[in-house]
Amino acid sequence: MTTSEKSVLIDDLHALEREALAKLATVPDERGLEEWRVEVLGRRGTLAELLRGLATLSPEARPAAGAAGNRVKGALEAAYAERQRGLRAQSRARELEAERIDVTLPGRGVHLGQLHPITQLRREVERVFIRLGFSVVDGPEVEYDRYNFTLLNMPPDHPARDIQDTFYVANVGAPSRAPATAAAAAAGAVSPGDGAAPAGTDPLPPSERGAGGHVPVGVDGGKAKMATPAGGEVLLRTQTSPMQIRVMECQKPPIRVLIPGRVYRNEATDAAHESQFSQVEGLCVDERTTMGDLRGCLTFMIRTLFGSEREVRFRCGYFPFVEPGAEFDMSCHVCGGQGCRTCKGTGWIEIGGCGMVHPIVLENVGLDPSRYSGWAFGFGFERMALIRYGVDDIRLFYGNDLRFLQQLR
Amino acid sequence: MRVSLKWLRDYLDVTQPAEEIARRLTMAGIEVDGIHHLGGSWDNVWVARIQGIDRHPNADRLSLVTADYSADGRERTRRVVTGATNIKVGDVVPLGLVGARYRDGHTDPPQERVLQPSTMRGIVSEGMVMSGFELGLSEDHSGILVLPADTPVGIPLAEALGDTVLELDLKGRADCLSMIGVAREVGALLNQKVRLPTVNPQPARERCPDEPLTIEIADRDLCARYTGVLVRNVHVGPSPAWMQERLQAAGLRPINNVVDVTNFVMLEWGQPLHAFDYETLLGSAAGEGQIVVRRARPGERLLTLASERPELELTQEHLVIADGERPVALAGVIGGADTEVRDTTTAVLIESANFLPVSVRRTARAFLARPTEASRRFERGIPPEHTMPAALRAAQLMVELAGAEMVGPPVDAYPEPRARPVIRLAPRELERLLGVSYDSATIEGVFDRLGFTYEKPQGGSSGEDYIVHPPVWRLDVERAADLVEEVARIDGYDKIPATLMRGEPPVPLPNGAMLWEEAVRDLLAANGFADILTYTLTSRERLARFPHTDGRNAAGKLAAFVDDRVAPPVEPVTLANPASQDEDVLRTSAIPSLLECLGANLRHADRDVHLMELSRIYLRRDQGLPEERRVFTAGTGAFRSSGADWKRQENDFYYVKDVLEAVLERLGITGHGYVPVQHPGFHPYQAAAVVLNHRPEAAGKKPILPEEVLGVIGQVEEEVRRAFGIGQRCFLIAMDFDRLIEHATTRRQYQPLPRTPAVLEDLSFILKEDVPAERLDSSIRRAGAPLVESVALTDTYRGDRLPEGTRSLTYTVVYRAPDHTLTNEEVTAVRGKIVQAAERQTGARLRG
Ligand SMILES: [Zn+2]
Repeated sequence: MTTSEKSVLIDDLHALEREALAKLATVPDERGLEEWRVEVLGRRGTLAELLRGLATLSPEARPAAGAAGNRVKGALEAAYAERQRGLRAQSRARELEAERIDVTLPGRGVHLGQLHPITQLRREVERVFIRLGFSVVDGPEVEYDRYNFTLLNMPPDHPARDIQDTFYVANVGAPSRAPATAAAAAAGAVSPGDGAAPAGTDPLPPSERGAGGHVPVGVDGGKAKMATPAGGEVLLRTQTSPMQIRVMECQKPPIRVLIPGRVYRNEATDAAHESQFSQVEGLCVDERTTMGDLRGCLTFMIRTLFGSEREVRFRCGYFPFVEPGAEFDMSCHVCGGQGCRTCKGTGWIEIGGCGMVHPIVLENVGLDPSRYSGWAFGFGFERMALIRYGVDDIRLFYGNDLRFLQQLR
Repeated sequence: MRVSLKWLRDYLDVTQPAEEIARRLTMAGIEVDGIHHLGGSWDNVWVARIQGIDRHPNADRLSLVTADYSADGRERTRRVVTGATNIKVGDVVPLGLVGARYRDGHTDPPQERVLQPSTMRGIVSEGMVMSGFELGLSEDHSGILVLPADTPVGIPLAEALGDTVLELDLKGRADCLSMIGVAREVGALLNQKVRLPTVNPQPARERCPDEPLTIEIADRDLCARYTGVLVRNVHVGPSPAWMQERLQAAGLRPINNVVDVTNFVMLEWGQPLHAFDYETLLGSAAGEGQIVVRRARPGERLLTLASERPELELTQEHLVIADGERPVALAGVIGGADTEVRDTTTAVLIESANFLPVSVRRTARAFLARPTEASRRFERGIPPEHTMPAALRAAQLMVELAGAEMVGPPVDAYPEPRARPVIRLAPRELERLLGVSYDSATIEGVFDRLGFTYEKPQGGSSGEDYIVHPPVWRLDVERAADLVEEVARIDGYDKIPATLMRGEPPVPLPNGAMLWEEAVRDLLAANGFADILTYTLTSRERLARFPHTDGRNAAGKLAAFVDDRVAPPVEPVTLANPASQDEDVLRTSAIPSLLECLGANLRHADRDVHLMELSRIYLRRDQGLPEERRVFTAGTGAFRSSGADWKRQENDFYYVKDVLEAVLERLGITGHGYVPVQHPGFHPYQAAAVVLNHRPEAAGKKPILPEEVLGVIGQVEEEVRRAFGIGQRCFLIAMDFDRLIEHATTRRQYQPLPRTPAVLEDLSFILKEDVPAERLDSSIRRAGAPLVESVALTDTYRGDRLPEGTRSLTYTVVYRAPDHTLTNEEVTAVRGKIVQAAERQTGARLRG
């Protein structure tokens, strides 16, 4: 082996490096790159072929040629890795580009549900009073005259009964079934499908009944458990106030309850009047609670719902079941009390009625008016919703047109 | 009550603007509904005298009126066309010229119009003679407003009649149904003294023996006091302008001086009066002229002044004023026609009486469409002490205005003078109720201003209280709480502070049902459903639009159980006095209103109409109040958005089933199932009763008890939905929510998370179409227990590659042992059991 032999090998390595790098630059894709790798860097590749020539070199010539071989190999491998990264990036970029979308297209339309504006408002009011230690309960809409009027200091023939046009029920008592369905009514157990199996007994597991403390109490709807003495005529309650009586009959003071619910008036309907609407009643009875507490609670409610700058004003008002009685107004949330169309220029908006529970009402439920005092308030949710949302027709609330409801989501 | 400020100034020097008085009254509890400035809008309206009335040549019902409104020597007349018939030559009337504003009662509600030049049946009308209604003075359409004859002609009407009237909405304060009452209230608020009219008429002479007047109250429970005054030499004629103006401002029509005086005094004192023609009162058999206040006798009749129901048939329910022979007036309500004051009347018996409010109220309601001015006042209660001053005031006015003379002193029957309340008020009671204390100067100041007399607290153990005597006219003040209100309102409610309760907290009341309702509302709202509120009142026809089952066959029985939960076929709670025939019963089902609402919304939208309601149905019970059952209803149309390629996607039974499953899971209800039901409201093969204690493995052999049925879910039958105007498929859920609540629980059992790996495997079975999938599912679970942790359907297939009448169901089965990693052998063994059991129990074969 001569010097020339040695330099020939080194020259060949350099030539291989040059050619391979030039070819690598033209490799179009990862497949081409793999072909290049096999051809150049593979076990039978051109570099390995050349390096096998090392063995034929003289021992003196080997180190230099070996070093050159290692350098070329390292350079080619680095170039390969570099090229591989580049090609991957390119192909990834193409893949991503293929996933290009038009971000200006709309979403496919999640259809949102919603709570009715009256439900929303009712919950807001409930939350306020729950924060003040009130319990929320509901009660029967079909009511005895006695609860709706008499015990609320409106005995029969009381002129105040005229203020509320009342729906009376014609057919209280034994229900009668339509004859066509008598068979169904009389049926015991039935089996689905083909088998007319005998009536079995499979009572519900008692452990599942009324679990979780969710047992309706006596004030709960048609399930009233309290004694209901013959209450005279039956009517659709004209106000939520009969629940004042029902609550006081079954709970001893201190009492703090909030009673939302439907009420009915036999009135012609128009943009401002419905024969059915929702009211809420608040009642607080204790050994020492005052009209100041009433004003405080109402102020807290109004500020929570309409903003912290709102004020609550009491005007003297007449309701047979309170004394002293008041109407309560809030300072207008539109103009801040300066006067505008919403408040008819007065700066105040009428919200509801309230007052100290009338001593006769307390006596009617067996509470000593000289020991206990109480206060109550009531207002209509629809009216408040009209004020809040600027809605001009109360009938929209029961029309349930989604185009309307969705505006108040 | 309409309060003329001009009139009010007779008793009080009111200088404040009407708006300020209205505000003060409203704050003090006497709500002012409106302020009417009479005359403010009467430009181009003049006082005119009718010079001539001619027939309209082209119209029988119209006439041509020549109206003269000359003034200051300038002659001015106009010829106008009118349809009115209540005018005659010489009458003084309002004459509106072009540009005058008037209220047009031909539209509802009445509209404000401006008078335009017009030609009526070929004759030019140069203006109009106007009614009180058109001028905004009253609700009386019936004829032209005839002004007092002494009203100066040729001046603007505003000068003659201009006034400001406050319209009071009186809910409580009956004493303010009188001018003097209002004056007292305004006086108290403005801290001014009220000037009462001087009432001191002296009899011109004593009654002669041939002028008998005895008054007997036979039914003292219904009449506390009856005061009668006889006046003679009455000259019936028009009353003077000042009185007519005041009556008109109050909304009453002047008639003649006698009637006007009784009305005037009623408005002034709040004490209704009646005037009898004394000569028409018959004596008794004994020949004595007399007034008897008694219950009517069965069969008695009375011809009254009310035109609507001329002859009333009376019973013992009704209190009447009778003469010696017959009823002559319905006490406190209306007078009889036979004894009415006429133009020729010369002797008048003035009645000033006090009747029991309830009696007057009932009688008025029995006979009249609306209360009379008199009955309205009696119903609300008036003090018996007022009969005497009112009687004397009327007598005095008749003397002054009708040339009458008072004959003898009043005859006064007042058998049991009423005991007036004496109220003890401890000053600390004010603080106890109001939360703020008042000093004695404030308290006494209020008492003084309101005319309450009182004894100051004497001090010491027994003398801490005020002893208060309310004035006679304040019948509404009976107890300490009433006095507290008086002090608070006159001093101003503004003084009441805003505080919070300081006492111990109350025992919280559970309200589980409402909490569950709210939970379901939230869940459904989050799942695309809109919470709706619909009407309770409906009609039988609307209820019947969603059919009941006839319940005849076995399948019908299950459907009948469903009906019993969500739409019981019972006679609904019916109103005695419905507002309309369309709203005469309480709903026994919430399904029709939901479907109505679905239909209405599907008219505007082709997708995303998903509605829910938590409401009540009302069911009569054997005794007592009806059951008010909570129900949950939800419904959807055929489509929702979010489909592939921006298309809408179809809703189907399984979509709503998922919704219902979510609800039941939220309520913690388990062990329920879906049993096909044939109900006429639903698609025969796409509806299920939802039942408790469901056992798929019983293969339909387990009887279903009525108390296990929760409700129904399904596609609404086509004819039924069309009846609700729904043009696409729709789906419905209807549940007895009270029953759901009964079985609901908040209890949840914690299971430790698994520590060992699971083995997942898809098993595809071929199952006959007529075998319910739930049976296969149940087979897999039972056979795989306890190593099978869960079974979930992940694919279904129907098609050519399967035998006819079968389908392929792929379940992803998760195997896991709690304590070790499962081996292949274990899994293979379990799978073998599953496949065997499935085949044996359901005929299913493992696929390929
Ligand atoms: Zn405003």
